[in-house]
Amino acid sequence: MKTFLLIFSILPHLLLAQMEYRSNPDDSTDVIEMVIIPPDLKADSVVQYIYNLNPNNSSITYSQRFGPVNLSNKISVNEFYEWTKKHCIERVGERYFYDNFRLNRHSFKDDLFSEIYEIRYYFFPPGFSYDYQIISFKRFVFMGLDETQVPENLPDCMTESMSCSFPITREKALEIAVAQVVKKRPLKVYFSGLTSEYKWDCRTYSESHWYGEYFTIDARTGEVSELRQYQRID
Amino acid sequence: MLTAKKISTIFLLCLCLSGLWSQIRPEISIIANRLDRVAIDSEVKNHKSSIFFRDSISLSLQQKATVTELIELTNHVSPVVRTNALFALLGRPERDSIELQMLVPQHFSDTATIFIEMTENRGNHDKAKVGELFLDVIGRYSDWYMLWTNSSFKLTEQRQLWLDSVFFCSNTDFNYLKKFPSRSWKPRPELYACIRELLESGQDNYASLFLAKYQQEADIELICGHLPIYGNANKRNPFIWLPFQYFQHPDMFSCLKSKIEDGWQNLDYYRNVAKYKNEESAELMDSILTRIIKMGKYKGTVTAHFGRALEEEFAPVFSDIYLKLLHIFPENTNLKIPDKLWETHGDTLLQLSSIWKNGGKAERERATRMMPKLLEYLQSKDSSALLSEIVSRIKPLPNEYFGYQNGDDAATIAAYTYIYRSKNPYFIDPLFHFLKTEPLAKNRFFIAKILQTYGDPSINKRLTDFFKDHPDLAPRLVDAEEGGKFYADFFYKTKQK
Repeated sequence: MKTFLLIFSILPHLLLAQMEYRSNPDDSTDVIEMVIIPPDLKADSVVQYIYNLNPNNSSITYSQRFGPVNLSNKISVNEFYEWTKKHCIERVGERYFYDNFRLNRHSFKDDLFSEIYEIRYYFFPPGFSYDYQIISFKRFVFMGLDETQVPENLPDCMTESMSCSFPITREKALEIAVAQVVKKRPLKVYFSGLTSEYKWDCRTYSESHWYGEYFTIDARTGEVSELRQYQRID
Repeated sequence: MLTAKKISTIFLLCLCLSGLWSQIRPEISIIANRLDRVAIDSEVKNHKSSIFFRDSISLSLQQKATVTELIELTNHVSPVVRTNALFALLGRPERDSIELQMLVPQHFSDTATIFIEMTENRGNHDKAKVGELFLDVIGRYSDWYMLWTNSSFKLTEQRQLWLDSVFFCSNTDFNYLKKFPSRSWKPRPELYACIRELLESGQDNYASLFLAKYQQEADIELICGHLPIYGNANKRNPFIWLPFQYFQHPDMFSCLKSKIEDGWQNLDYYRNVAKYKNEESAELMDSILTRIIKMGKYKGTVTAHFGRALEEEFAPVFSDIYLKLLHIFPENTNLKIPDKLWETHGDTLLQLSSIWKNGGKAERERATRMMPKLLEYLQSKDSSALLSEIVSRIKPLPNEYFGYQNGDDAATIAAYTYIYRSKNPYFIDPLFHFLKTEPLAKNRFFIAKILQTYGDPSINKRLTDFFKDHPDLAPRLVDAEEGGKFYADFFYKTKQK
């Protein structure tokens, strides 16, 4: 009966459910699950909503899916979640936030060992299909101590509009790397992802993988960093 | 006894009779005669590794020659061709259906040296002998890693048994390769006679490794007189003492005792003596220790080996020798304390621990390593001594829980583990005192977490008040991240035990 009531209570959210599958352009079998942020839901409903979006996901336990949502016994997660959303919207704007920020099942984490509660957003800059930046808010509450950490890598579009524009997508970065770094040498380019400074973390490598260069490409300006040579010695 | 020559004659005869014997086609002969190097590499495809040629002529031979031709080429006059033919066969898709084991005996005396080029990053094998390669590639008789070890080729059990029986019963130029398979070999009645005959003939002392596995009293004298490598090789070689590992018997012990001149500096000799765990073996170990004490150079290593063997095979009969060892060599950090020594000589070890605690570096290291067992011992004997010992160990933590821990770190962890488990109120004040003195905030967070586990609201209030009164000592979020990671590792490890 309890389970039935629970399912019944989240049914409207399930009907609104919007899940995104984003696949790695270098490996189509590597797919990540993301959830579009439902604007009007509170944190506890959001968590239930996320856990119930994909019934086939075996990594979500039965108790997570149907059990009580014990978010934290020290803070009001609903309030903290609203505060983080407000903070993000103040920095990037409401439209930009809902268009480009996502959640997934790792977004709400209560670490009993460090006494830190973390809310994590996945920020996919416009035009980026797979690469993201983790925007993490942390709150430490322990023995009368209370401290909140805001993410340093959250861009501020309100004071500097260019900081939210990322014209250098993975594809464009590859073109830049080929033209400015590879320069017709027998080398290939590998992308590790985005650094916290919104730079593409790249390296070139020889066919035998024995040597190459490390470098970054700024996702905002396309500027290529200095090349750092490497040579394997194993 | 089947000799290598007989086997190869039979094999060649069979080939002739079955009509498989064929002339090598001229075009294949031309390719074979052009071969001037052996250059190989390995690759993984579909989770299977295989050897491939890096030389185009070798590759051409592998692709164009028939299996029969390749088999015939394994007897070519040139060692380069013989070796290329071997690797070519290994790379053939039909290799599992070929009776490759039949090729090996023909090379029991093939001592021609060959230079094998591997990839630029794997180095070369410049002293390979062709016969050794056939034994290793097909029979897997060595324990060193080479490219072909990863070739995923393995004889079927029946074929391996056949090859084992021929190799172990034959005198070859590669008898030394027998020491590796002897470890896992199980004695087979049908081979007893030929192995005994081979050993009796005096041609191959490695046969004693196999004969010892039959554990026959009547063979002891023969084994004792024909130990492998004995007489002319390095006495530190562990293989000399393998027969004693395979066969324990009072007469084998007497034999072992008679070899003391050759074995008293050898770890495997100690191990085999200590295995007997009786008065006689204790006497022999004691006499070895007397020799070690008189030694000059290399004493440290030999002492560590002696201690290690005693520790591995520890029995109450060795207690006095071990204590003597600890007294005589206090500077040797390699010596550990066998757990069973605590059962019979706990008080003595307790006294030694308090002496070592204030001694030199090595002694202090040893004392701290004794900590976990010492706590266990004190717990069963004297609780007040235990508590003060724990408090004396409340110290800053090692940097990483799973990183390297020296003796001091291990003792600190052992003390915190005891506090966490016992939740004894005796430790509360010392822990609060530590909060005031510890300079690292991550450690203060860890201590606060330990205090929190007492589950006592008054302790929690005291902690809250403490951080309120001493805001400079309160951990921050970044400290909690670091200290929390350590606490998580500590928590899981403590739960596991």
